[in-house]
Amino acid sequence: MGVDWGFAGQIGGFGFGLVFVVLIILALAIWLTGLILSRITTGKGEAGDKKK
Amino acid sequence: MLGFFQTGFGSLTWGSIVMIFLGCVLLYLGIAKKMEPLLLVPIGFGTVLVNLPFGGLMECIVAGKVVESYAIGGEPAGLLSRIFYYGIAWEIIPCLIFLGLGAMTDFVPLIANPKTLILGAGAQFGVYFAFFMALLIGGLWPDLHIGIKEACSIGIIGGADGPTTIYLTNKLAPHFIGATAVAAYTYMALVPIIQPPVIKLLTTKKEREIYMKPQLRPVSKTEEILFPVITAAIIILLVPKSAPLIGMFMFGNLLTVSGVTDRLADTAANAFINILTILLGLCIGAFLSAEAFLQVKSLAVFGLGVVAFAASTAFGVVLAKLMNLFSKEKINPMIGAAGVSAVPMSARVVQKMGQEANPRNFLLMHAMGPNIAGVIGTAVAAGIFLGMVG
Repeated sequence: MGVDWGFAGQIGGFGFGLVFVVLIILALAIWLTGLILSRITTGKGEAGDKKK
Repeated sequence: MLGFFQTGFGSLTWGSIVMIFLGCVLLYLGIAKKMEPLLLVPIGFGTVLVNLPFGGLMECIVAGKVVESYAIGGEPAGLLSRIFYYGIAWEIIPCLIFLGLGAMTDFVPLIANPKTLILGAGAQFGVYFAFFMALLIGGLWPDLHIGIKEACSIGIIGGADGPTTIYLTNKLAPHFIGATAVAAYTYMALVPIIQPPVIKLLTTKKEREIYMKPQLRPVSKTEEILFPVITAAIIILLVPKSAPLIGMFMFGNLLTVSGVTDRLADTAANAFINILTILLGLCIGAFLSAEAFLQVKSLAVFGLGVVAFAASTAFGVVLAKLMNLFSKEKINPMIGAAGVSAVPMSARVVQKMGQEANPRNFLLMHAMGPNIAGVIGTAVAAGIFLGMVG
């Protein structure tokens, strides 16, 4: 069975790179969500304090 | 007398006796040594059953003739061949196992420390390393018939994720499914034996002693609920072919964290996944028949599987050490080894080794982050393989 090493290289190189890209994007999204939610919570807390 | 009645004794071969013995070894490891008993007991018993002659558990009808072992393209006619055909060949059981896993998994360590996702990505190195090794061996020994699709199926063993391995192999190289599934599950059970020497080889005692604060940042309920929705959307948009695995994984988690579907979450995390584990374990064992398993290609898959697994562990550790060069707060590089997706065995190994090196250290929660990231990473790698060669 002949192996197409060019295609294999694409699968290996592009594939491994894409795993990193996908998980880095996901890590950024999770971090950003946490940041936004903590800002909202802090903002709400400050608004509640001002009302009091 | 009773010439019309046939017992199995006369048809026992050396091959089937070897495989029955192997099944008993798996049972011994599961029952006496308590090594992954939920996997090894069904697999071991399935192996014993299928190697007893004339049981007909994996019978298939091919061109009107009944054959004893499973045949791709044949009509299943035995109990286990039917379970395999409708459960695995139809790609149902592996994906539903992900639903149960999602319901069982606590993603808080990952949400609290998202950079551990990078360690999960790094630990996929073994998948691609074994992919190239498989192609190389396939090139050197053409009789093994290892092409690109077979190499993808062998490589994914490095992710140490049984359901993903079965799902991908069934799609790309179904004739390899017995060997890859057994290799993946065996290596998952052997995590405590395979990983420690690789970790010790790549870390100094000082590095293994690195202390990590036991507390992670608090994660709000809203974050927990948003996590499965955001993760499913991002990953499926980027790698659409990972949808069956990631979709079920995240749905299972949503059932648990939403707090309003407790009954469904409880079923998914307990009864449902237990039923699926029984069916899957028996089917994998049933693929360990002498004629299907005692072949050079199975041994090649086993050999490459351990290479893949060790390479994943090694690269995870090396990546964690690299991350330490750029981060203010040092991480214990051993947690990189947990980037393989054998949840939670791999994290437990790191915890145990961490405590041996520094009794003050409690690394379990820190190692769970890369461990869960590894599950996601392997499913993504499988989706990429499918997108490129499926």
